[in-house]
Amino acid sequence: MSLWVDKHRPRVLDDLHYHAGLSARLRALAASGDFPHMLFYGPSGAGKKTRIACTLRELFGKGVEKLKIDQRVFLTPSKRKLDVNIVQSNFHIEITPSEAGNYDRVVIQELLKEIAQTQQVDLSAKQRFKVVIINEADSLTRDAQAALRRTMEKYMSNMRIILCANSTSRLIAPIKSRCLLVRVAAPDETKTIEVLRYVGKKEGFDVPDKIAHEIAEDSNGNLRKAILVLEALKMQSTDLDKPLTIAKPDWETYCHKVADMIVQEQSPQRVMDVRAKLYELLSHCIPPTVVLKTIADRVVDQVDESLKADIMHWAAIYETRMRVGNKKIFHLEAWVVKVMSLYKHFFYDIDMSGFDD
Amino acid sequence: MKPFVCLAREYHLAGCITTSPIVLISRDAEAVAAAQQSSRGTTANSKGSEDNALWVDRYAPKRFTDLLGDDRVHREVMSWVKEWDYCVFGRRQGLGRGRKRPRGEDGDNLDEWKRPEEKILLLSGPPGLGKTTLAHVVARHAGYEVFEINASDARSAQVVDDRLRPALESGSAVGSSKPVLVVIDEIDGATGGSDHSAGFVRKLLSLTYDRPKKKGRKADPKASRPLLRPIICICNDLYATALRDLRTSARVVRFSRPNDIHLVRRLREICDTEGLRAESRALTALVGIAQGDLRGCLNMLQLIKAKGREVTEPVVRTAAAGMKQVDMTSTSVLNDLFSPMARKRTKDLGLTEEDEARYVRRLSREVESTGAMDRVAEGCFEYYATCHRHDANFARYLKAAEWLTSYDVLSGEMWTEREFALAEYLPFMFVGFYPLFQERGRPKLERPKATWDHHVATTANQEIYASLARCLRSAAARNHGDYRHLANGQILQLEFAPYLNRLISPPLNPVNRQIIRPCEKATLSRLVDIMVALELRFLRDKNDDGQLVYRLDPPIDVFVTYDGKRASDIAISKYAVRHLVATEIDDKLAAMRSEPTEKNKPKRSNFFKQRAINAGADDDTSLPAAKRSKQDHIGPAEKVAVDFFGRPIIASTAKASSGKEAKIASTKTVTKYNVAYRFNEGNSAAVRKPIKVSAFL
Amino acid sequence: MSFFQPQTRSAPQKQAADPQHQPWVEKYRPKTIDDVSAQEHTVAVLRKTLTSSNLPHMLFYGPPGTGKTSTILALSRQLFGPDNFRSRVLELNASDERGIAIVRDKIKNFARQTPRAQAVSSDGKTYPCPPYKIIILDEADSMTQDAQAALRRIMETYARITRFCLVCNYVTRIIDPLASRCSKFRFKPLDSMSTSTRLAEIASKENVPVTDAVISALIDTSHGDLRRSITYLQSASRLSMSTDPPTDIIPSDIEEIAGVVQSSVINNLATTLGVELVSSDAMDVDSSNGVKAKGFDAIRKTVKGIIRQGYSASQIISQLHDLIIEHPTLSGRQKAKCALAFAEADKALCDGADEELWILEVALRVHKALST
Repeated sequence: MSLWVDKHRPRVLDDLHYHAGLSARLRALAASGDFPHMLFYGPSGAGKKTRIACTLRELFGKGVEKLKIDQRVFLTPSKRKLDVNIVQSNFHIEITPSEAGNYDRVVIQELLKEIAQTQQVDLSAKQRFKVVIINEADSLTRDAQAALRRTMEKYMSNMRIILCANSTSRLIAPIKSRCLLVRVAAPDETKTIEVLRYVGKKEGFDVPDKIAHEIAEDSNGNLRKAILVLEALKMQSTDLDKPLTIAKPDWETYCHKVADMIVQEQSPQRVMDVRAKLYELLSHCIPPTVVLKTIADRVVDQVDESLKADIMHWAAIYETRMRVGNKKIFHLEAWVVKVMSLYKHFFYDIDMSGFDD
Repeated sequence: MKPFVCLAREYHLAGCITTSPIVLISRDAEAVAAAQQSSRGTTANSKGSEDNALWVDRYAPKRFTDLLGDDRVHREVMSWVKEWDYCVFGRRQGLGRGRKRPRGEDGDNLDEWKRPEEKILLLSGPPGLGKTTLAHVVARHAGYEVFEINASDARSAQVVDDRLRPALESGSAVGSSKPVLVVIDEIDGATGGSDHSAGFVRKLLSLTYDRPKKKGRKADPKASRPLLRPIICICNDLYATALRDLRTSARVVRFSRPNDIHLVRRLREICDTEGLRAESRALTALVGIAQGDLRGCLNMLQLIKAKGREVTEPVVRTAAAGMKQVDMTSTSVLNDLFSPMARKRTKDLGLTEEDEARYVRRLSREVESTGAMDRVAEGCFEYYATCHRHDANFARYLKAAEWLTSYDVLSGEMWTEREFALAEYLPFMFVGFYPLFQERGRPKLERPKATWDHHVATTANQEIYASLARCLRSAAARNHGDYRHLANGQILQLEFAPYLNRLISPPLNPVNRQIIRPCEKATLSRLVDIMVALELRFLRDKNDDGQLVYRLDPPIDVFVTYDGKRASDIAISKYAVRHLVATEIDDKLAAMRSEPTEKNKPKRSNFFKQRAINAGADDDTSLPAAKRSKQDHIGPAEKVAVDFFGRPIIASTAKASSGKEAKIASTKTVTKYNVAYRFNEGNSAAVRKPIKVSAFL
Repeated sequence: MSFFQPQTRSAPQKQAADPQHQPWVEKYRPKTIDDVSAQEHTVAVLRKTLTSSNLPHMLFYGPPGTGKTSTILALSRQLFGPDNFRSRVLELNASDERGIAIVRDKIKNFARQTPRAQAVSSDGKTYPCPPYKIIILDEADSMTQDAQAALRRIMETYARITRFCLVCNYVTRIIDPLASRCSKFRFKPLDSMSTSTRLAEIASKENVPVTDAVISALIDTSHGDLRRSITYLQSASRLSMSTDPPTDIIPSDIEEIAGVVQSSVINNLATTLGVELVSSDAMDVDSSNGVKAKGFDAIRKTVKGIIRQGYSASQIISQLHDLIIEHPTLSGRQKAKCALAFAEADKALCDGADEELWILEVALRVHKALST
């Protein structure tokens, strides 16, 4: 029993709903026998993993869908044990090295060496190489990326690597230059609606235009989210023709609440209130960057045009500093205080020149 | 209090024979030197003749009555040691005194060995007040031989086994007839709360646990014997993390600073004996600067003597400039940062107003000496916004935030890049708080706790995410990897968790399952399917009011609960609905179990063919039984829901309903069938998994 | 069968990398130092060492893809020949463990040995085979400070029998004591002439039809990094070969492979920010009025659109940078302000900051700089 997201996930390249040109290329590559290392990048929910799975299917046939899910224990140099989940078939293996945190290099080195030193033994296999899929490649540490760099050249004969990342900015240049870059853009609204309709049809109901539009707009190109929303909505009320509101994720609603609080009042007491809310968000494991972005996005909607640029500027600054530091709450609050101060200055029409640069 | 006083006097009489109570040991210096060597057993001082012995040692109190400071503290320690008397010496305490001591009267704090309730005494207080001395003096008075472990010894769990236990179990030190009393000095020190000292403390505590006596059998010689000797631990920071466990199970005695007058008097007496001329004002100043650290004062005086000068105030002040900064706890530093220096302290240090205004050096030193800058940072963060001073344009807040973020960036950089050269800049990040937020008469700041609370909450939620992720992965194992993409970090937290909660709470009306409307029936069955697939369950539980409720397990509904309130658009499913769903789930599971081959075979044929298990049974009914029994073996041991054979872990989770009977029944049936297992065939992952042979039988 | 099962078959086929599938970068790596493109000075110096059998410690530095590793590998191959290569040359790079333990252990042990040269080489040629070994530390700038410090002494102690060659991109990351022990060779980015000759050579050997436009696209996207341009060429030819029927490579293919953002996207962003595009012949006054009206929300919308397209932020910023810095009508002051914004953004992105925030930040600052 699967959720619609998985149930209606295309399994072969021909079933993909959008980026037909890309599908054709992938098919051609898979057929050529000269398959390169690849790097799929694009925003979350655009269909990178679906395309990877389809490409694998094209390469190896149905066998890749026989998956085993397993846990491997790796030993760090400091003798700590790391559990890493591994998904594998006879032809490929899928890992998320970021699960190992700072020790991802260990996972990469050990696993890849192991795979590289074995050969495809299945004589019926279509390809002589195996494929390693590395998820969340952009959160690999520099060390791990450096380790990958040479491995990619060395073991080309019996292994191909497919990296999957949200953006290429955090990948070091040597990795990028060793891969064939494949950009998977998010589907636009019409495509999203098309997919929603398709899912609805498969499930035996029609998605009303209004709802489809709203979901598509709300999901902002994240197809996975769109389908989850659709299913949740369908569960909540069987009749989709009624006027319905699309539920936002709770953390988002909560962030908006925080943003409203910041705009409504600027006082020490308010700082403390906001802090409590920020703690609450962080303790729900919402990434601080997401928190900051969501709140900032909401705040700028409610303030004067002349403040917007400054607020975003400080959001960018504090977000960057937050990456270096350990105590995310400090930076979040620093930004909140900054915004409050900016707002107050603006309100009392105090000279703003000090904040320009 | 009276009994204590007479107790003290009694011991005093017993202990010192010739001299009057307030006499100074120095009068008979030779006796002191002898006593030192014999009692402490330290060899280091032995060659030190009278002249070059440290005054600290020479004038260390030898008798209970020589002790300076709070008498009550001394007596408390003494009485605790005395509570061991019956256990150690086999005599009743207070015997022959005509009246029983109140503590002994209760009698119920004593166990079969008549030991006090808390087996460990924890002495805490700032350095130099004489905690170690007290422990030694009391021990000697009560007739014990001191066995000391101090900072120079390694602190590891090993030490407890290697050194402490033999000493405790033999009951007396080597070559001595007296029973042993263990003093562990500076238990919080040196290791700084790392794993080592925590292990040490844990091991130490384990000594105090009594094992229940095993009946009929002879006690295992290896098993530790009960603790029959007292242990005194000494620490500076009572709230050091390593001591957390100890604090709760030991008797804690806090030391406070003795009255300055007593100290000055003692110093004067010493000066007199040493023939050092000292002004009273100078001595007072000295005591003030040292904040009651008598050891520090004595060292200082000896230094002055060695230089051949008189003790005058300016001399004291200049000499004191280099005096060691007192160890500060993070809390006291916080207080210093957020409130100006007390007038009295200013006077003690003899600072002019100008000096006082120069706070940077003083505060940065203080911060540095805590060694726990993160905690100071947390404190500053917690308290800066509670300040009452008016701040119209947030200018001060901005600065505070700037300091804090700079600190965090610097320290983050320092740790990740291992640039420890940055460390010296860190203390200055807090000094800025002083001019910004100092406030006279604000209530004393407590230890900041928001960070800890936050940490606890986060860890709890992370646990739940992790268990949800495990559910997803095991669901993926059963559904051709379908759910696996949802288990990745951000997707799980940002998208899946909120919507899953909406998915599993459709607005159902609580009705009997027989008369359910068709459209609702579809919803219900879909809901049950999803929940079964994801191993989500409703567990019956009682809430605080004793009402029956169904609780979601794992409790993923926390992810839509902020500030204790659930999202408004999610209908709160009522008890009846949840009950209905729970029974449906159980039914579904039961159904899956009873007809698994039809249901499972086609789906998972791939798995079964390759897997080396050949449930040698011919009839289909045996298979589920075998399966279930296996899961019963595996289930509890392996929390990771990745089932060995990629099958649902049903039995272990659904135990609530009929698990037990099923289990018994299944184990019975299983034994009849042979299970053949061929190695080297099939899937490597299956082969690799460590599993007990019993699981196959 | 098992994914992990160790290989049980005989070894011969193990590293039998099919030359057809071999990366061209490896395939066309220079065999002798004379093959090295465009580093005349360095090659001239090194050629002397071939005859004089005196080699200093060396430090090669320069941007990626300029032939540093190729040069030292070619040189040592020429010095020792295929037979002695293994015993005389130790190559370590970042994918190998290179902590202080390895320096103390592996490198020291290797440095200490005095292997005997095999007198007659199997391929009949004669090699100088000087009486020292070479240790190549590739990507040396990623070695820790400790490990580098540990090298200092080893370099001196075994100088008689061992030469070190450090290869790195950033010479500043090498600690001074090490750098001062080496003679430094700077590898400069390849000029477009040598790149294009080299690319054309490879293309003709591989039978890939390339036009001049493609070559210039390759040069533009690779910024003097020969390895990158060769990799792009190979990827492009792979793609064009595998389509049915095979098509010729066109410049836009190269740009797509290189992850270059389409110029229409950049132009669109630039107009939103108030940059007047040179090609568009809109009136000055009109466009600036139009710009004012757009403001924050329009910029945010455009940025969000770009993020949805999945373009890499650093790429966007570098292309926007090119567009603005080379813009004919903007004042120097405006350009300077923009340049500062670009620089800060680049730093932040290197630190792993959020892409959307920083594209927006750059956009807003450029907008501000241009509208004042």
